[in-house]
Amino acid sequence: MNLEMFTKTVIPIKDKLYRLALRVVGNPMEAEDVVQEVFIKLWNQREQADQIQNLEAWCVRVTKNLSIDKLRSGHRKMGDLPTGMEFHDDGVSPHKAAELGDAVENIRRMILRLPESQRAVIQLRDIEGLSYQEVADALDLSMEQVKVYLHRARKTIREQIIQNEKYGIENH
Amino acid sequence: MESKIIESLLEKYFEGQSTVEEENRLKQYFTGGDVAPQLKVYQPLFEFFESEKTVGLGEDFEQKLLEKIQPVKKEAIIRKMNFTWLRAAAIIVFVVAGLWMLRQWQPETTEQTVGIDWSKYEPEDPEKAYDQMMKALALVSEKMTEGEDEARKGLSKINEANEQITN
Repeated sequence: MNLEMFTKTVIPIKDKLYRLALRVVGNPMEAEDVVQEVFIKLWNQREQADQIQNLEAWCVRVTKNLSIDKLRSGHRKMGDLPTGMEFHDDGVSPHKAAELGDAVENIRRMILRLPESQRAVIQLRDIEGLSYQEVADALDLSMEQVKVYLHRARKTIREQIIQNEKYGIENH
Repeated sequence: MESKIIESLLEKYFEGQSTVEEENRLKQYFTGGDVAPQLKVYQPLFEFFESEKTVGLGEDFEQKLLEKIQPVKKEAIIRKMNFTWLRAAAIIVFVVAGLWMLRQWQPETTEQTVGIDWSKYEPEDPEKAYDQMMKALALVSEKMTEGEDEARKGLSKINEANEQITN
């Protein structure tokens, strides 16, 4: 792989990788570092890059793995609740957050509370719109596992939405 | 009517049974603005999915990345340049040394050759030049004849010796 190929085929998926990293690590600076590491890793292996069948899936997989490594090395527990300080620290400006409303921010919080594998599956399926097969390839999971994670994640989200709604109604 | 379809699609979605197309339809419905009151509770979820798609890296990311990737290339160019400079420097040293040596050596020969100004002996009048030339040629001719006589004398002596031997 030469620089031209790298710039044309790999760099364009940077935002997709960044969003996945951000979903897992929850911090824009760390997510950016992850994406940079992924690209540098690929560039250093560019001689063997032609043997990688699906470059995008390879990048997504490495992004997910590096993000999880980063998360674990940062003395943070899996599924930790974000504190109020961290709340706007995931790539969304306070201005944009206000525009979208509290309800959308609540969803963001719910997803951040999910275990990392469920978070990654939600990110790739519901945000990036990948097929089950693509999600499975990218995360090194079986199709069944993808469906199970997705089902669990969506179920949790639904329960919380309903709970929030009830709580809201009870408060009126 | 549409809300009924959406409700059933939502059920499929939460069961993890929906297709990408069905999920796209849900996203379109919930971000389109006209949402049935009983479904409004799910609107933020799909709004969140759509808004997340716009999140991306800063514009300077690519530049920073390429700067990290390319130093190797730059170093190689610098190394190459050094060799070229080294070669150029070596050539300059040789040329300068050569010129210096030539200068060291030339004065003795040039003093001798340049010391005689032949131009003052050069005749300006063509007739005079012709006379001089004829004189010079006559001198050469005279000396040549002298030489020939000498050679003849030598030959006759050899002949004499020859005759004495044969007789």
